Amino acid sequence: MSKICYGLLGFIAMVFSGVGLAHQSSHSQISLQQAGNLLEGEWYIAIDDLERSEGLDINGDGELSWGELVKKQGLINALAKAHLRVQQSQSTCVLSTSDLMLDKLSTGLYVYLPLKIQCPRLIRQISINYDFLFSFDAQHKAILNIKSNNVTQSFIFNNQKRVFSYNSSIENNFQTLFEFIGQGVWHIWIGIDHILFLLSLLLPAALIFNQGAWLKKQCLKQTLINTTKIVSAFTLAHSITLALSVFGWEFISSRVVESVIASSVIIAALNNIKPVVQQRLWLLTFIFGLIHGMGFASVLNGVGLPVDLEVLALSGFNIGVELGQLSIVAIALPVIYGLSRWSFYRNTMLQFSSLVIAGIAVIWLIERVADIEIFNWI
Amino acid sequence: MYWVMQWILVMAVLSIAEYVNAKPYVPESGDEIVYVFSSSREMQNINDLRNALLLNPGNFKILNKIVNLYLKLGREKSDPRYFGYAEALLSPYLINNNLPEQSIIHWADILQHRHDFDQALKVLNSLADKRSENPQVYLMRAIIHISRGEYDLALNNCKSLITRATHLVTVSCVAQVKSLTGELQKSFELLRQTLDLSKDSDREEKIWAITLLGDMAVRIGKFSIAEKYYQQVLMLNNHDYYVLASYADLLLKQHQFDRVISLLREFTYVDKLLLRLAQASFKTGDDLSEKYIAQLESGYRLNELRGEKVHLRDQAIFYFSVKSNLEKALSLAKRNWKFQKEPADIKLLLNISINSGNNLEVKNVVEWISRQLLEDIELDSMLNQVVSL
Repeated sequence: MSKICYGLLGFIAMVFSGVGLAHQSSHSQISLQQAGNLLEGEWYIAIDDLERSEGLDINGDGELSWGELVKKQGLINALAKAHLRVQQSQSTCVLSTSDLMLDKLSTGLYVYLPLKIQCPRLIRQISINYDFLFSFDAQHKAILNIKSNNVTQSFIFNNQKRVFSYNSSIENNFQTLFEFIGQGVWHIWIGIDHILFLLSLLLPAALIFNQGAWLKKQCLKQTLINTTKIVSAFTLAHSITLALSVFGWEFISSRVVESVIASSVIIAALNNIKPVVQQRLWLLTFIFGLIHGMGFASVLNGVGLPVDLEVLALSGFNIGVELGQLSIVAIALPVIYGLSRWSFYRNTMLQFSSLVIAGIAVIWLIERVADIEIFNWI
Repeated sequence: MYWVMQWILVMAVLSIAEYVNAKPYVPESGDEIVYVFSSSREMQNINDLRNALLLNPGNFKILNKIVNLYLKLGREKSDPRYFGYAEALLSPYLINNNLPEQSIIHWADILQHRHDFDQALKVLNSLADKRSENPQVYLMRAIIHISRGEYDLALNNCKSLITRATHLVTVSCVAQVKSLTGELQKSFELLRQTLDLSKDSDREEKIWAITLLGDMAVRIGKFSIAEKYYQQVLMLNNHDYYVLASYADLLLKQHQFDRVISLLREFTYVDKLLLRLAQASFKTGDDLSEKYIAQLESGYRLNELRGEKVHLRDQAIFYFSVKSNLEKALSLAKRNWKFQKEPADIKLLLNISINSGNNLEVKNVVEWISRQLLEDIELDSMLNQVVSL
C-alpha cells in the first residue's frame, strides 16, 4: 500500500502497508487441560489491554508496580468470570482463579492467571463463550487450546465469533470405557484406606486360628479359596452400593461413610490380633464392602459421568476398581503365602503390622469424625 | 477440508512454542516496577473524551474526536490496537447505519488499514454516490485503486480532487497514477515543478509529494536523487515509517547494510522496519540478527493465526531474503498479489521466481505486466530473466 496523504485542513494521515508487528494486535491466550469434569490451565492477558481498558496504574504515575497489580487481582478475577463462561447442557461450569503471576512474551508483558473450570459432569460436549475486551477493542482475538488425551484442539474467538462448542476427544464408547477403567484403577491405587482394608483381610489368608494361635494351612488351594471368597464379597458389595448411588440413591453423608471405612480398617486389623470373626469373614467383608462402595461413588460423582453413557462409564469404573484390586492381591498374596511358613510371621509380624494398620486407621477415624487434619497424608 | 483447517490451526498454535514453554514468575516485592506505560498527553485526552462520551452517548462530535485521536496514535506509534479501539467505538452505530460522513470516512480508513479493500471501497462508494465534497473520499479510493493496479479508476478519482483539494494534492495523485502508466519521467518532472511552486503548502502535503518523488526517482534509477528526497522527508518528520522503509529498501538494493542498521536501529517496534533491520543484520552477520529474525517469525505466525493479510508482502520478503524458504515465500507473495499489485509486489514475485528457477507460477503475473506500461529500472531485466527460464 502506498503512502497517502488524504486530507486537508490539518487532517492528514499516512497509510502504511503494514502496522506494528512488534506492536501486535490485541490477543489473549487460554490454555486448558481437560481431565474428567475439570478444565485446568491458564489465561494470558496483555498488560497493555488491561491498562487501557480497565486502568491498572492506580497512582497514575505511568509506572505499574507489582503491588498495584496485585491490588487488581479481584478485578481481574471478576473479568475472567464475567467474560469466560462455560456451559454444559443446562448447567453452568464454575470458574475459579488462583493468584496471578507475570510472564514476558515476545509480544509484551502478560498477566498469567491460573484457571480452573469445574463442570457438573464428565466433559463430552460443552459450549464456551468468550467476550472479553470486544466492546473496547473490536480487533481483539483470543486463542483457546484445550488438551485432552494428548490431543489439542484450538479455537480462535473474535468479535464476530464468540461461542464455540468443544467436543472432548473421547469420541467413542470404547474410549469412554477405557477412560473410566483407568479412573477406577487409579482410584483404588491412591485410595490407601481401601488397600489397607483389603490387606488386613489378606494378611492371615494362608493361616488358620486354632487354640489361641495362628497356624499354617495345609494347602495352597484352601488359601486361594479363602482369598477368592473375600475379594468376591468385597467386589460384589461395593459394586452394589456404587451402582445404586450413581443411579440416584442417597445414602449416609460422605463424612459418615469415610468414618465407617476407617472403622472397617481398624476392625479388620484388630481381627488379626484377636480373631473374633473367622468363618464368616466374607460376610464381614461384604457388609463393609457396601460402605466402601459408597466411598467409591463419591469419587465417581466427583469425576462426573457422561449422561448418555452412564452404564458404560460405571461398568468401566468398576472394572478398573477390580483390576486395581486384583493387581494388589497378585503382588501381596504370594508374599503373604511365602511369609506364612515362618513362625516369626505367624507369631509377631502379622500382629505387629496389623497393629500399625489399626493405628493409622484410628488417626483417620479421629480426623474424619472430628473433621480435622492430624497428618498431611500426601 | 474442515479437518485440514483444524490441523493447520493446531500446528500453528503449537509452533508458537513460547506459549507452550512459558515461564511465569512472581516479582520479589510489591514495590518492584513491572511495567512502564507509554503514557502520552493524547491518552489522557482520550480518557477525558471517553468519559464525556459516556455522559453524552451518541454525540458524534466527541466520538469523531476520539476516533481521530486513536487513528493518529495508531499510526504514530505503529500500534494496531488503536485501530481496534476506534472500530469498537464506531461498531454500535454501524449496525444502524446512522453515522455522519466523517465517521464513515474513519470507518473506511480502519478497513483500508487492515487491507479489507473491498469493504473500504464499498463504504467510500456510498459517500461518493452522494457526491461528497470531502476530498478524503476520492483520495482514499484513488490510493486503493493504485495499489490494486486499477489505474483508470484511480485516475478518475484523482480528477475528482481538482475541485475539492489543493493543486499540490491533485497533482501528486495524478502524477502517481501516470508514473505507473507509461509517463514516469514526465510525472516526475511535473510533480517536481509543482512542488517548487507550492512553497506555502501544508507540511503533510509536501511530505507526501516529496515521498512520491523519491519513489519515482528509485524507479527511474536515480538512486542518489531518491536518497536526497527521502532525507528531506526525514528532516520534516524523522518518524515517517513509510519513508524509513523505502529508504532502507534503497540502501539494501545497493548493499549498504551498515547504513540500514544505523538508520533503523531505534525502530524495532515497527514491524516493517524490523524486517529491514533483520535483512541488513543478516547480511552483515550482526549479533542481533538472530533475535530480530526470531521476533519477526513469532509475530508472523501469530498474524497467520489471526488470519491477517496486512503483512503478506513483508512476510514473503522475510521468507525469501532471510529464511531462504522459496516455497513459502512464493505462496505468500502469490496470496499478496491478489490484493496488491504495486511495483514492489511485482518485483518480489519475479525475484522469487528467478531464484527458484521456475516461471510457471508467475505466468499470469507476467501476462498482467505485459498489458501495462509500467516503468522501473529493474523490471525489464527481471522480466527477461523470468521469460528465459
